[in-house]
Amino acid sequence: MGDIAIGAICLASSLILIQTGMNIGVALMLLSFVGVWAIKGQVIAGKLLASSVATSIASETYAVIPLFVLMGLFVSSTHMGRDTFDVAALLMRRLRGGLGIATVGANTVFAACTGTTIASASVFTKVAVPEMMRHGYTAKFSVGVVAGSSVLGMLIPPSILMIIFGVIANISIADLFTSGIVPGLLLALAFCTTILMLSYFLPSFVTNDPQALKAGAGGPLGGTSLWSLVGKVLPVVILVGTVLGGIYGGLFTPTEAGGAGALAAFFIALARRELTFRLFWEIAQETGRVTAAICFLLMAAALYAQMLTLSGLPYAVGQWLQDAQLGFLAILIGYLLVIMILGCFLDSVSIMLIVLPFVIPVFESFNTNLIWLGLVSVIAIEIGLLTPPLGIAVFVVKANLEDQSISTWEIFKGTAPMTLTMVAVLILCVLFPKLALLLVGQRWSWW
Amino acid sequence: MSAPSATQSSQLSPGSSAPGRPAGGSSWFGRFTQTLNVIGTILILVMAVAVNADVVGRGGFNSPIAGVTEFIGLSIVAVVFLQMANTLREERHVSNDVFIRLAGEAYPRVVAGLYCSYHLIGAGLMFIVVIYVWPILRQNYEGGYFAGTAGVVQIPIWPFMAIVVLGAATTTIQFLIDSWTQFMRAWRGAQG
Repeated sequence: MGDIAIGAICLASSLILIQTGMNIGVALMLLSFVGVWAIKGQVIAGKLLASSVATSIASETYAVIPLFVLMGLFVSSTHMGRDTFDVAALLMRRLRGGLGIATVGANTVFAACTGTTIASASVFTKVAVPEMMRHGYTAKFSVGVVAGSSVLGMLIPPSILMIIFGVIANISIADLFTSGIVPGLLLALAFCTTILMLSYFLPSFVTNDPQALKAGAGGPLGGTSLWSLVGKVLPVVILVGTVLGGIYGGLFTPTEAGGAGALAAFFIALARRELTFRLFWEIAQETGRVTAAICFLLMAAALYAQMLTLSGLPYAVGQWLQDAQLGFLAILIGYLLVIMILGCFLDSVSIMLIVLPFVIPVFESFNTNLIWLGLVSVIAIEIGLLTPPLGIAVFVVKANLEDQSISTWEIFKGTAPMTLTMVAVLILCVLFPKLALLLVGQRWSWW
Repeated sequence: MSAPSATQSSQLSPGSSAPGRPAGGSSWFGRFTQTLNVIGTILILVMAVAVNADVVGRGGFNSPIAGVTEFIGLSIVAVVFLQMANTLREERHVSNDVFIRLAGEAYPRVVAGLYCSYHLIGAGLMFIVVIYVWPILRQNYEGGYFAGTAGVVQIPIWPFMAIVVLGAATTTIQFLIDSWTQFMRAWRGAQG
């Protein structure tokens, strides 16, 4: 049996095992071990396994993961999300669909304090959905806006998904973070536009009660003083400034920004008198579990990538693509479609781990800017979070809903306009690499 | 449980839980995994403090703290293996059980049998990790290898490798326990 066949069989079997519920890290690591054994023998398989476990993540770079998770947990276990939403609701109260726009706005700011879509989705399901429904918005619109705008969490730095892309593609995480700022803001703006258009042209989707859309309706804060408003947003502003300012200003590496951000979030939570020792300890433990889960996947991915390289499978795929004379655009579209489809039945981290070792060499042969590739990959994968059957963002919203009568299907229907908006933004980012590369200070275009 | 667990910060798997785990934590082994978890948690906090101290030292006093980078690199591996067994016990590892959960409603025993074998495979893999990391531990211990700059800061590597071996061994046992639980479920289902 040829090495390429071994690689292909290992890849296929790991996909089957993952789909039938096996721990993803275990499946990837085990089949990679078996694959290397079949290709190079037991001694090398053992050595590579040991080094993937003991040394593949033994670098300061990887400490960025627990630090940003820690910061995100501090932020999402206090009421900073609610405060941000309250202020946004007050500011947007004159607009049609103002609470929807406020949700997007608050999510945009919140995204700069957490690295995951899940954190955003769970916090805003609790904060924004009840408020929107109380003001007469339909259930499907309320949950749809929350699920849709939660994807900003992964696009606007810090972002766990970008960290993982940076690690696998071996490119600067700081540059990746920076590349997400403009597209993230663009997506937020596009979401707001969609909401405005829906409330003008399809009000029945947004509300059952036309009065609710009238200007001035809604907002949990009425007649609050300016100072208390400032007090509500100041902590978030400090955090965003520390993380984004620190990285973009060149003051911090991402790891240091994570450390400083976690410390700042800790002091803010303390100052808000929301941090009991018990909560603090639970946050720290949770950070450990999330770190273990993600890092174990990264270890498995390191071995998997080596197995693939030894098998020659990515090289063969690259050759085949070259022989097919497809050209860059066809390959890019094919790649984005594949990861969007994979997003229907795999979680975003696993998609990156499995697909990137194949595609990165192919795109490198086209001299593709990998930072831009990372950015469009993240958007495409995030679209998968919103589409059935396995829209993870949607499930998180569902799990955090107080009103369990809202069905998963309703949520998917509600997110549909947001999903389409994302596709539009993805197309824009593909067409205009400048959107991603502007702040990074790189010039590159595929056409 | 309060806020942090409700936030489900693992963006990976929304509350994935194989059905019906017996309440853990009371057995001595459960307490042992918790102890490792506590040490790992403290290590994370130490890392956070170390990163900040380094930033302050560099920015404020123009003197970065020697060895912090090396310490953090080694610690992250240790954290993963200190938390590994407990993460498994709390079912927070990443798996994709959307389809299998549906199948479990129709054929609970078949799925229990499947999980039984998957956990057994997991135990096998972790045991393989123990076997192959052990020589690295011995090498580092006997050779007295360290990370850092000679004469400035020397962090011995072997304790971190010992943690990997210990964590992998503990996770092996946790997988075996899980496998046994699923086996009993498949078996009892047959009788009742």
